[in-house]
Amino acid sequence: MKRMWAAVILLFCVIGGGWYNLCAVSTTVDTISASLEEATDAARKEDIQHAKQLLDQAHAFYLQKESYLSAVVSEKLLDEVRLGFARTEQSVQNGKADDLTVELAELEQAIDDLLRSEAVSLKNIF
Amino acid sequence: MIFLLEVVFLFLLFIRTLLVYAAVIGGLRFTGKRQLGELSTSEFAVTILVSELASIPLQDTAVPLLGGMVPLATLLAVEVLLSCLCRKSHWVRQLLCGNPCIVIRDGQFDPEMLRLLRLSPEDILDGLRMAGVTSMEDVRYGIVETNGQLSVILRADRQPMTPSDCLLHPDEVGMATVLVSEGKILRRNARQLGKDEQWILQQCRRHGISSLKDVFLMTLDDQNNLFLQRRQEESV
Repeated sequence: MKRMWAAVILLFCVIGGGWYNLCAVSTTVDTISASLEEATDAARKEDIQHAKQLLDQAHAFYLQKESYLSAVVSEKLLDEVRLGFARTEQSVQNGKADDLTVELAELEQAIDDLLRSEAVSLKNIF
Repeated sequence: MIFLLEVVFLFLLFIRTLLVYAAVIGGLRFTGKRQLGELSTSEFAVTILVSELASIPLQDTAVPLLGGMVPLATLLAVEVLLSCLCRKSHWVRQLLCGNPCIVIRDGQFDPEMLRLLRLSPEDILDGLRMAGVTSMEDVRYGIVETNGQLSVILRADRQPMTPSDCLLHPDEVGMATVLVSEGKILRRNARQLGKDEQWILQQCRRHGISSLKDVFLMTLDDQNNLFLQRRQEESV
């Protein structure tokens, strides 16, 4: 009987943990994506300084959440995100708005992939 | 620098392996003795899957440890719940484990049952030989159990003779419990038998052993039959 209840609790923990993970990753992705979208808009208007501020904000938030993401998301996806941030920062230093727009778009894609890998969908199941 | 990274990587792999190993052992213990004994269909499937799932985070360090642990925990929890359900519901048990099937009756094969089980007579004869039966005529029933094993019930006149057949009433045999193993007293076992360290030392002295360190094994059964083996000197 004890083992049965332990199994029930374990299953609830797994399901609850999965749900919490989905919400946590979703919140992180939404926050970073919002900053990146604003940065992209600023880059299109050639306001590199404002884009840099938003990018730094997004990067700082990502670094806060990185430890948690490392435990639940594949390192390969996180590597893409880190690379994306490095490239966008390089573009900011170069001062080229066009390049920055492209890099920001790729970075947004990499960030969205984090949630896509965790989402409960038929595509992920199969 | 590369060497240092390699060393760190190997160390991380070492830690991961230990964690996964602990999780697998803990998980299989959690499922209980059913898992460690003869396996039914679902238990066999779980055992194979557990080994595959546990190796996922070991094969690729880019995969988080949770990527192996979560499926492992899910599988083992579901297995425990299903086994509890099997105990409560005959229908679920039948669905998951199937039913034992009689393939031999009174020394004759049941061809229809063999066909349903996709077994040949040679397969059954193999099983009979492993059960120590050499003649079909000796068999009253041959049953393929849910775990695939063949159980054999011999005819009454082919059963091994027992003392009660000869109207004998031998003394009951006891179940030996280990009291001392390699010089160490197993206090829980000693308490169960109502013996203490003093009694154990007294028995040792009776057998010419002055110290517990010289005892390799001491057992006592519920008929008070004592077994004592002295530790041999280790060869150099």
